[in-house]
Amino acid sequence: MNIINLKDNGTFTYYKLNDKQTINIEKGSNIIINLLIKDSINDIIINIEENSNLIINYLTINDNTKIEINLNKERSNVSLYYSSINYKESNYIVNINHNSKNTTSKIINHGISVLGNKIDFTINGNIPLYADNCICNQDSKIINIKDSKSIIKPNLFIENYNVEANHSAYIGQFNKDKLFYLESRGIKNDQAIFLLLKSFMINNMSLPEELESKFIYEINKIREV
Amino acid sequence: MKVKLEILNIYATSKDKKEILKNFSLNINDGESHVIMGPNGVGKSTLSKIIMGSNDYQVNEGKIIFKDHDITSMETSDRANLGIFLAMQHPISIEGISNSEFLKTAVSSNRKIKVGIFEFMKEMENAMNDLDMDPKMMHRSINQDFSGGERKKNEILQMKLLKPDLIILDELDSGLDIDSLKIVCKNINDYVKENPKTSVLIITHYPKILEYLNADFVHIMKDGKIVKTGSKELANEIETSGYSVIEEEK
Repeated sequence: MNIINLKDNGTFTYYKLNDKQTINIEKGSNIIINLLIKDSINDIIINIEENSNLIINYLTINDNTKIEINLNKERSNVSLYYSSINYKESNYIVNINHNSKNTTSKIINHGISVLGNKIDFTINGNIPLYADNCICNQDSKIINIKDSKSIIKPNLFIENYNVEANHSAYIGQFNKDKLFYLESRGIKNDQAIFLLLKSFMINNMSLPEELESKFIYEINKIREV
Repeated sequence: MKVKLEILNIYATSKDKKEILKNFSLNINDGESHVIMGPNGVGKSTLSKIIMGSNDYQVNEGKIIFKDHDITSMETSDRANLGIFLAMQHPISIEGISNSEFLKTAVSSNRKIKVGIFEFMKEMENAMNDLDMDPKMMHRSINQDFSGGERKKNEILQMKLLKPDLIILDELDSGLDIDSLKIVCKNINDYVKENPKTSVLIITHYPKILEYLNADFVHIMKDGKIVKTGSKELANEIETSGYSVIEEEK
């Protein structure tokens, strides 16, 4: 098993992880991790210690990933932005464990099913009885380019009453009114879909230029299909 | 004068098979301004979407001819690039696509050339200045968190950049305060003055907007078709007496 230890302030970009990967964020750190990973099966454990903030921008193509995030100490916070393009069946599982009081998680998951392949999102937020004042929010959306039997399972397992927790989920196609609006200005259907895909996949992320270009290239490939 | 838009005996239904337009016909010549009025639910806004090619409606009979092209089955984007512009009653917001990226893509598609970024930004800034719009709005997502007035100004901004031959204004005054309405109408009037062959189709409940926009013909719509046509005086008659007094022309 490979272990990465990150501390202080910094941005780290990875194009490959080990099948089993542990990432430790040390006390008092502000870390951004950017990932662009293709055709892989990953089992990732992330441990975040006291007074630390972690932002993960996770871009994938044909992904099967299980992520376990442990918010181990007070004021450990994570924001996970996950965007995944899938041409094959895909399983994505996230477990967020609020192991201490005053911890925050924000989990935004966006998936595209390109060929009618099934995507399965399972997002579990766990807040035990002793973890006061936690914030646990999750929002998941899957856009089907063709009809698919995709599933989102947003779960909140909360034992403490003094918390803020929300979840939302959407599976479907792009809003037809938005497409009509773009097309009514002369933008061809495939270009309009590309604009909507791009905004859906990377709008909420602040990415390095090179990484963004590489992922936009992958988004553009969807048009060829 | 050349006919720009010919709507010939259209029958159209919504997806749930409800009849919306029933033997609807209308001719608009170059440079003419026509007004469609009528109470709620007679199909005025639907007419604008059918001209624009919305997939929510199906034309079962009849034809729509625009600049000698039969556009009845044409894609929406092709109709737009042929010169039809619809300023919508409720412009939708689209998070994550900036106004500038959207408009640059639309203008490039419309002019069939890749528009240079510097040239485009200059053109957009000038147009926004004419409309008294905050330049920061070009970097914001399309209509996201825009007020009703800002959305309508954004529609006219698009019109100015896309340079259409036919402008359809669907309930332009809804959501607009009087100052914004005057600015928007001035921009439309200036555009028509600079491009005198431009035709305008105004769809409205209330004749108030005709204080600011020219109207050569006023049509009253009822049950999916035009039942009476007149001059601007007809709109004033409606303002005074309401739609119930309108007798259908045989």
